Amino acid sequence: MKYSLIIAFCLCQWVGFCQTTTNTNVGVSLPSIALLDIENSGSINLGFSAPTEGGSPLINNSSNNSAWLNFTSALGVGGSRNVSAYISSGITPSGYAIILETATYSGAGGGQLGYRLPFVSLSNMPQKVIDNIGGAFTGNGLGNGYNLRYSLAITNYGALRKENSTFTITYTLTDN
Amino acid sequence: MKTMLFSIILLLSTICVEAQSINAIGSWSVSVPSNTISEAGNDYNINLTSVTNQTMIEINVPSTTANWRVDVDKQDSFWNNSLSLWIRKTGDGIGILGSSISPIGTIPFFRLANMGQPFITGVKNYVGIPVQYEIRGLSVLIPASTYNTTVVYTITEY
Repeated sequence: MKYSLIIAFCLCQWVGFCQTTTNTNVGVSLPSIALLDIENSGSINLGFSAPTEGGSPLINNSSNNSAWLNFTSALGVGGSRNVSAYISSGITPSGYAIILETATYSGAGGGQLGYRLPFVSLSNMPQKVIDNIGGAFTGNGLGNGYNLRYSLAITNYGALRKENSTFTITYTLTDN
Repeated sequence: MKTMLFSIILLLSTICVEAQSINAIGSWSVSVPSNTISEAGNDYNINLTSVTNQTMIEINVPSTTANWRVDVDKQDSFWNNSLSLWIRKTGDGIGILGSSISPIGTIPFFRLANMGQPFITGVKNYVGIPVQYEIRGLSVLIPASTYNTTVVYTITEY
């Protein structure tokens, strides 16, 4: 009787729960991506105005903050990137500096958006303006990313000359 | 008597193993083109979808009266939980005389989990049941790498 029950139990197992499996593989590769764009990257004009009173300094009240820095960054685990800026063409200013102020991030992006170096005096050597960028996207267009403000600062009155100068500022998204 | 019982169990086990088979032919490997994002500042805005017959399933149940059910799940080897794998059946394949399959035709995608979910039921043998996959949740926030998972099809005869 006991054996009959065991056999019946085994038959139930056989009839009710007999299973076989097969497998197939699915794989997806995500690439490394580094895209950088300046929204409103057209020319801007900055300048000094002559004072109206003898003995007064030059009037320096022009600045421009119409440009926004957008980027998309995808990279492997543990990596990071930075955005640097430099004067890539034009004679390095004499007697004054071009100041780049980078505002805090705002927009519809996400991820590891890095931290800004808020105040940089631009030269012909690349300087970091945003660092520690990971996998991130800022959002596209004006109002997304890092707002950039350009202004001038007199560094040496003695070296100032009446002149019109044109500079090109280049931004680069680079692996750290 | 014990020897006889053991022999019966062993025989049943053997019968069980040979009672049915399922084959899934066709894996899927896909790379996201690096130019998918055309504007800096954007994230991916796409899903990756395989061809409609990426995997073809073949079912063989020797018992002519046997009903069967196929469950499906995934077992991750290297995967990111922000990615989701979806699956659907896009046709019925070809069954032998007296066969049936349910649901019929193309079904909506459903998300694969790490636990088995009912996929198809049927009666008798089938070949060429087409299966399509879709990967969702792509984002640049997911570290650049290659991710792999195994789709497991389990047939149960009842």
